[in-house]
Amino acid sequence: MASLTPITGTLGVQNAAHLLRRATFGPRLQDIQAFSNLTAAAAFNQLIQPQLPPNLPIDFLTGTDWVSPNVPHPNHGGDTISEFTSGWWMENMRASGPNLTERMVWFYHTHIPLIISRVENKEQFSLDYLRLLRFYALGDYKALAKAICIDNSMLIHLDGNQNVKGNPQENFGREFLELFTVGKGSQVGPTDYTNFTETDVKALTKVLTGWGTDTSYQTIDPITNIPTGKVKGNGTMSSQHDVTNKQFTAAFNNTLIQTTGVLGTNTTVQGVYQELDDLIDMIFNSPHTAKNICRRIYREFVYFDITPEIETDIIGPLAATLEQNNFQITSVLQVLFASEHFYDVDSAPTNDNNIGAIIKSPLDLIIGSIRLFDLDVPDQTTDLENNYTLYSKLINQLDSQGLPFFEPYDVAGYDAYFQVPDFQRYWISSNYLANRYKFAEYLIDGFTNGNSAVLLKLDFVLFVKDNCTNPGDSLSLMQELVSWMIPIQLTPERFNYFKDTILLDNLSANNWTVEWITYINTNDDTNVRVQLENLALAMMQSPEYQLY
Amino acid sequence: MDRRDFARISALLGSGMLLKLNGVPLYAAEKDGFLKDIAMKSLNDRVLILVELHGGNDGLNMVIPIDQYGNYYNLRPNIAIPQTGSRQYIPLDMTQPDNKKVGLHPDMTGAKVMYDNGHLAVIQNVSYANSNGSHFRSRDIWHMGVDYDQYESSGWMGRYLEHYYPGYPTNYPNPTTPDPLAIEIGTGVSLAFHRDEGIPAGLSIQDPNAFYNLINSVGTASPINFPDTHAGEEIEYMMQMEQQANGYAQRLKDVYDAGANSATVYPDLYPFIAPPGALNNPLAPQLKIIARLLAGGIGTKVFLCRIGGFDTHANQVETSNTTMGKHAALMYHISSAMKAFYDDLQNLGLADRVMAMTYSEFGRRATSNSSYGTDHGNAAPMLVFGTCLNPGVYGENPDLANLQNGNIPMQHDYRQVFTSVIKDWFGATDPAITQVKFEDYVENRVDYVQCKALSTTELFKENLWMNCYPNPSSSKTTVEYYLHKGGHVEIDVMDLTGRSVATLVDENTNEGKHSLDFNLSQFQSGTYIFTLKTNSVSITKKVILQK
Repeated sequence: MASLTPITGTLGVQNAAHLLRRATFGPRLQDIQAFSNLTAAAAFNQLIQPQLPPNLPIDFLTGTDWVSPNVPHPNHGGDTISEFTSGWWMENMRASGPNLTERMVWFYHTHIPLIISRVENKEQFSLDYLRLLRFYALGDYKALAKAICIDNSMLIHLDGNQNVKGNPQENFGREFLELFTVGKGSQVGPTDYTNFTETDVKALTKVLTGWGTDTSYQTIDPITNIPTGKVKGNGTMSSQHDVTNKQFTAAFNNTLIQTTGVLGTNTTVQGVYQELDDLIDMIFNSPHTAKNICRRIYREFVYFDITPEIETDIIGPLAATLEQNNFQITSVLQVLFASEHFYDVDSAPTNDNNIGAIIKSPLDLIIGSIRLFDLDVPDQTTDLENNYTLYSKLINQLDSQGLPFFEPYDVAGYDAYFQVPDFQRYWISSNYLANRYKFAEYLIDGFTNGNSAVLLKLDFVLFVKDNCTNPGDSLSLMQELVSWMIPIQLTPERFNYFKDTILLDNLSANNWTVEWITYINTNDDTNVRVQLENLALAMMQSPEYQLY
Repeated sequence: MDRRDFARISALLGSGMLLKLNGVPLYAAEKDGFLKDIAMKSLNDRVLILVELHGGNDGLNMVIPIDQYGNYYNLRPNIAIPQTGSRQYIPLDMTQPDNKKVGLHPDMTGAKVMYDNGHLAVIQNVSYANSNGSHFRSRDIWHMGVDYDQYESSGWMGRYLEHYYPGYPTNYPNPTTPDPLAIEIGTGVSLAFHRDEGIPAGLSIQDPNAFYNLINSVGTASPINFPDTHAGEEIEYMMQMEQQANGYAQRLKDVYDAGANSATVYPDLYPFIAPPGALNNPLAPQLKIIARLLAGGIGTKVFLCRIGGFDTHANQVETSNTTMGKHAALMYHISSAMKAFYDDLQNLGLADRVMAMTYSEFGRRATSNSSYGTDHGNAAPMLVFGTCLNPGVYGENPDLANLQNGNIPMQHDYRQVFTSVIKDWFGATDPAITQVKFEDYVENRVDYVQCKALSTTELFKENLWMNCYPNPSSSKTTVEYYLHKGGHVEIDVMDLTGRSVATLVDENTNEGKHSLDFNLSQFQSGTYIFTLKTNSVSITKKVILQK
């Protein structure tokens, strides 16, 4: 019986590491230490501390951002700005503290994907999309879903801005139901997917008619302060909104949505907004909405396989909690991150244990490694161009590992987050896995720019020297490295493989101690560097390091 | 199948191989473990290329029902292909009855040439009952090989491979099966090759040399024991992937290096107007690699290529010219790449071995929308390419006056098309077809394959089996052959000019398995044809010598 009962006592080192691995893009060593002394409740409070929004990204040729009235430099095309936006976003992930915000922004992006190239000639659109996700990252999911319907980037990406009365465009409506809200259930008839039907897609599409992008950025959402799309018309009356009745099916309690404020064949702008509210209320009244998002939360933070037992014992109660808390997303995160289920103590058998069972996305692998080893990157304020160059290279790495960052192949997002039956295993093909391993080499060799300036490099000798308690003692060294880098217990054989075969090169432990002391005394790291870099490569090129 | 055939299969397959007739297990006496291995293999060297059109292809602008041109035009005037003028549709075959007269998109000249040569079959209105409008669910259905309301954790191709190579990946690769069972050009792993348990049966590669270099430069020793946790399962999965890659990297590089394309020029850019991102041919480089691997002697039987950009909700044509644009470019890419591919294969002497087909998760609506695009639809045509087809048009033109909710109704279930692949092209036995779950589609399968392969049982009636390995070889090759019945055997070796360079065997031979080593180092590098003749039947193998 899987259980959401809260655990008691302080977390301890292992649980703290597990919580931070799951809730952030990779724990820093000092964070693990700090959290190990907290209870689950206190730890969660830390994780949801409101964060200042990051400074807007800067175009180094203008010295400003590109949020209206600012624009990008004419020499920087839309695709270059897209790269900057992506780099800025990754830098936010890298620089963040032990907080849930960044992970939730990524989660919402994988749940409500945007393909940035579709909006790259309107550079602010993708930025506003990210700002919107960040605004609601630890907030009201229902409000986010509503805001998404009229977000400028979404109106382009899923063709909402071409959806007009008399000529409906179903793309957004379909994905809104299928992906973002109720999800698809089993198909019980030609056009009936249980949670919604084709009729509902058509009705919903009509509700959303008559919205368009606002490239003046003057239509501002009073709650988020972020520009949105606008109702097509003269500003007071709509011109393209379908004002006929929209009849939904039994999947939505046979709700009838009617336009208010109708004058002739158009209505007031107010009426169009009201109808959107009615639509969102209807959709969020469906029990499937809460369940769908809770399942995605479960897959993001716990494990990809949702058995009938998990569905009953975990998803059901979480969905109820979410509904009772008016879709405030932290209400379910709070329960989940304090639960016996999350820490594998709700049942004795180990074969359903979830700690260490999630395959890192390439983003987790790269950003996580940078954070774990506390690596320096070119300073965003004083060395911006190199900062962007580095992230451009890292984006190529992500792509080679199977994550086309901000550019998913499918409107449903990246395969690992939705593709049955294998979900996270979609990160593991022969190519992707080999490229993940290769990244470790690149990290040790260092990433450089065109002038051979180093942008990012792991000096494993320095890392060991600065962080390990007693690096000359191979056992203590290995224990610490394993506890930081590997999310599960290693068997003695496996542990000794890394220690004896790789680090010690099958020589005596004494030999290593002597080498280390010599290094400390002479500052010549030649010998210890070879062994430690071999160790870093072996550990990072292991299947165990691919997990968290 | 009658009892005699079953007894024969049982004898051939050996003990440990459980056959069931109507649910009753048959235990076969062990004759020779070797036979088990070869019987499980498909005994012909035919190849299938699956070309996935990702996003839902607008079949109505690819294959135009010209008997109803007026209706066609009225349904989609802002994207319709014209009937006259320099950019009109290409009339495919005016010898067809009116209700099968179709036109191809004007940029499919390559496909038209292939049709005239008898190398193209167009299968109309393919879908499945209760078509699902979701890309992801529909694509999954096509790959799983199931009905609209069923789920499998395996793909139909994965089940087919599982039948003939059970226990994969344990003991793979091996001398008899040194090549990946299936290859996906690209980097991901399609559901198509998933098996019910374990890693998929397909390997994904982009470029064999780059793959080799990559695989050999990374990795460390693998763990031996896995914890009994979910994490342990993930580690095991990763390890098997790693081992699969390691096992095949060298072989793929060798085969790729041994092979070469002919002088055929593969198409590169769409010659007319289309958005910049749509101009490069995404299919040609993939087919080029496959041709080269085949020329190098690869034994892989199934290849999957994927090209995207078909989800044309908006702007599928240029507003100034409906015959050009995003969708037109894709039509050009498919047609020109396939033409070049088959020209290349002809030059390499491989064309008869290869069949290729396009498929997509659904077609698109007959009516266009105001964004010069089309929304998700239902049935659509599949194109089948090959040199041994019953060419032509299968299925009548959709009745545009009687659409289903604005969609083209289904005439063929997609499994009626895929079943011909496994039964007629590959010669799958009934148990194999059942494992694939296509047994209901045998009777009514679409009959587009002309030279139907004999199933394993039937081949064994012909008494013969031969294999040569290593292939390619740098000096020596071992020729293994099996006779179901004794008789006079002659094994002859010829070069590509048809000149006999050696006779290996010319004597009465007992039934059973035989093998001999043959040293080719005295000959020049190149391709040699080994022919085994016995009684009134013969079998040939091509061996490549690369010194």
